[in-house]
Amino acid sequence: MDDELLERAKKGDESAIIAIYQKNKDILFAYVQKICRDDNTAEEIVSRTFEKFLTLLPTIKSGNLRGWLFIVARNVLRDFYREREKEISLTETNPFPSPEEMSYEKRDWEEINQALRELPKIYQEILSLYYLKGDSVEEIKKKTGKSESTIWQLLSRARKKLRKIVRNSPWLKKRYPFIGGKDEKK
Amino acid sequence: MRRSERLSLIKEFEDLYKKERQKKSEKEIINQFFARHPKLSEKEKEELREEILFSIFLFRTLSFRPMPEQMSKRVEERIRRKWAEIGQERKGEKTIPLTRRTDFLILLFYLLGKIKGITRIMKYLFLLSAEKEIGRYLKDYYQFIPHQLGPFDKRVYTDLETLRKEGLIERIPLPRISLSEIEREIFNLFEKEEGVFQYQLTEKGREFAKKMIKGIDKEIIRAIQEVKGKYGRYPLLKLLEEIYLKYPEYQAKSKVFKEIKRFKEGKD
Repeated sequence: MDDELLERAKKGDESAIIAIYQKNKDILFAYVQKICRDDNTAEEIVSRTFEKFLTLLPTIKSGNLRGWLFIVARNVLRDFYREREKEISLTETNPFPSPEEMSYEKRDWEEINQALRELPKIYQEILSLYYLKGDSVEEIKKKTGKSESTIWQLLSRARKKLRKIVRNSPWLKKRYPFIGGKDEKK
Repeated sequence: MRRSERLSLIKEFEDLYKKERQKKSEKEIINQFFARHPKLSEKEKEELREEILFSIFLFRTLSFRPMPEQMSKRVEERIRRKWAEIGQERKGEKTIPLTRRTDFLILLFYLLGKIKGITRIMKYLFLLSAEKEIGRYLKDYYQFIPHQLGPFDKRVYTDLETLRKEGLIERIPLPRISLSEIEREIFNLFEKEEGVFQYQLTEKGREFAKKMIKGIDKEIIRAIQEVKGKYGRYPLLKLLEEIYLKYPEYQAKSKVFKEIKRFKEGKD
């Protein structure tokens, strides 16, 4: 599929270029965002990556377009930081993730989002604020006007309900066997 | 273990995880956490381990961040523009065709120069549509609806942002003192948070416009110059009043029309 789009793009088909972008943008953005933790920088890096893709299009070999895009994004990010005289701090616990890893994470995210949508709105809101935005209970208190004990109670119930739902996802159960819980082990 | 005790331990683990996840591996954080609680029995540890693994699972799976939609559109626009540039260069042509709304904005800035405030930009774009039917030359031109300050299309905002991100235009904050009394009142009403900015092309934007203008239909250039000649020197108040009177259908949602009348009556 990627190779077919690449060949069309090389022949000058703009719709194929946009299709390649649409197919890879989320995963590339998440990849860069994970490293730099800044949306605006991630946007700039993804833009520059695709600009490079267009400039170098005739020379790109078919076979592993996504891998190619990831390598370019990584180099662009390094240059971007160099321009600003900053070093990217990468430790063993925070290395550049691989394209394959990012594809898995995207699928995880799709599955968990589907599960979240099955929850009541208030549970969705509390879980997103706490786990996605990383807000503290104090911050959630300010945003929702709920008391601390209510927030803890909601978080606990939401977790429990979500856990039941994600158990129905074969993908997540395979990736994270512990979500099966005790019942599953028996 | 009591439920409240378990919840408090999960909370403690989550706080620790949020603090350390950039620096340490998940395994290290879990070990660090259990080291803090040596009195927990193996059974209690096992029970807690499942909960904290689920916490990690939630932090990890929910932290995947796809590209927000507005951003995605901006990047797509940038790709299309680059593609057009490359196409023209390959053909050996020195001009860039006018195919996108954002290109039209660049042309507008090139011919009009600096423009003070988005409201003015919006009104010039509206007048070009209403009086010069510029939409004939450009598919997907702005479609205006009545709004608080008269004709409005929110895509003007997103397009300006796109151009700014691409380094083709820049905006310079204007000190409130440089605005007229009514302008200050209008901006106080509607642009409190943002402040007022003067928009203009950057060097890169001017270079782009120079290449583009060579291939532009002369009718388009004439239309912009005529709007500039007729309305370019109007103060904002007069510009808005003119549009409201000429196109009364845009008074519908206007909050500012009353302000203009009140201001004028006060002056008289």
